[in-house]
Amino acid sequence: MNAQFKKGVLELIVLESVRVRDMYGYELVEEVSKVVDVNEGTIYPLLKRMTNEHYFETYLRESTEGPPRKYYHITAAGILYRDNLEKEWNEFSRRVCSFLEEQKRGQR
Amino acid sequence: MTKTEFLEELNQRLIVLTEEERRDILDEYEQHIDMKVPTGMTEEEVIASFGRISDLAADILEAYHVRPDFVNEERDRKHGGRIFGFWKTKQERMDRGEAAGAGEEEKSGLHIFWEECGKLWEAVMRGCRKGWEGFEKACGRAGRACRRGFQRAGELLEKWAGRLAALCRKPFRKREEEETSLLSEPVGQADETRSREQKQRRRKEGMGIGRAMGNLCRAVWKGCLWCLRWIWNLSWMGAGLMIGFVACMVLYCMGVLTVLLVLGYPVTGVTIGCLGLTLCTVSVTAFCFTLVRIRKKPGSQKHGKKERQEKEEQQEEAVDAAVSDREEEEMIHA
Repeated sequence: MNAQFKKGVLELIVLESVRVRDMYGYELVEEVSKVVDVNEGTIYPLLKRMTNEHYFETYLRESTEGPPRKYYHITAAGILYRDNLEKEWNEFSRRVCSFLEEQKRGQR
Repeated sequence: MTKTEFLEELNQRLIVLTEEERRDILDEYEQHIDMKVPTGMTEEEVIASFGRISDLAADILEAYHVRPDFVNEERDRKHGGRIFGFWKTKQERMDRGEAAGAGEEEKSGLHIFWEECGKLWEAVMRGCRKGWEGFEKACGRAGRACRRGFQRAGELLEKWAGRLAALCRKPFRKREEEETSLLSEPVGQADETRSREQKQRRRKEGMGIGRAMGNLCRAVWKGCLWCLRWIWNLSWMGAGLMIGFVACMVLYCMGVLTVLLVLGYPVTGVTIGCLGLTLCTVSVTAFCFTLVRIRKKPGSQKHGKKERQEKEEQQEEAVDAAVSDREEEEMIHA
């Protein structure tokens, strides 16, 4: 898949994943990897940036194995941003789809 | 690349971030690698899947709105880069924990850079000032030495000219003396006094020629100095007047341009240029006139010199008189 496509929708996927339930880093990376094939290293910087922009809050929780895990929790600002992104994405994909359909019909 | 190597490398690249933030990010990656390994991947494979470390570091730094190239400089500074060698010493000083060390550590690289720039500038200015002072002093000393040398040479010339004249006159004087002595031998006391008067007169004549030559030399020397001074003064005055005339012209142009500017013509740049030219020409004119040397009033130093000269002349006279007196006595004895 085109890297530029991925970059655009990655934020939306991450926001949506965390909205459903709080997740820790590795879990989130696995979740995102199911949807898009992405370089796993690049998700941590994304999480960091969105935390710095106050779309996420973090807290530590002890785990049964290994050190405590850092969980991500979406904020109100994050939810607003997610809704906005979803709207944009829908609009964008609708337009691209209709354009492709039109072209196909024109060729016929 | 092993996990520790990877974490160390990443740590170095994120050195600009605070310790806490770096710890936070590195923990995430460490955990990720630790959790990935049981699924069947090796550490190397997991790290390879992250891609290039530089890209990763750039991604992370972007989350903090930090330019990655700035971080490279910072890293060089903290670890003694080749280009920023002089920063290394600063860092070492800070590491040794001097009084202000703890406070300085918080400063960003840019601050330190500006500080260094300021210090460098100060050092350069100090050097320039010192150099100029030295130059001025040397010039003054050389000028004084030259003047002293010329004066001494002039004095010597005068003295030797006087002696030469005296020497030239000696044979004549001797013959005359012989004649007078022959004549005056049989005559009594009255003649003796008369001959003494004659001798004194002759002596005075001899000294008069010496002094005249000395005076001539002095006059020539003074004339030369006078000529030089006037050539110097006139050339600088001429240059000053010419540039002053140009300054007037430029001032006039600037006035016209200002009027045009007020009327709305797009001549801002030209006007500013004219202003600069005006200031420049005016200052050059002023500089030219400061170089003009007006004759100084005879100061105490010169006066002292003259007195000394006179004294020397008197001494010479006395010596001459003594010599001729002795000669005279010998003659009488003979």
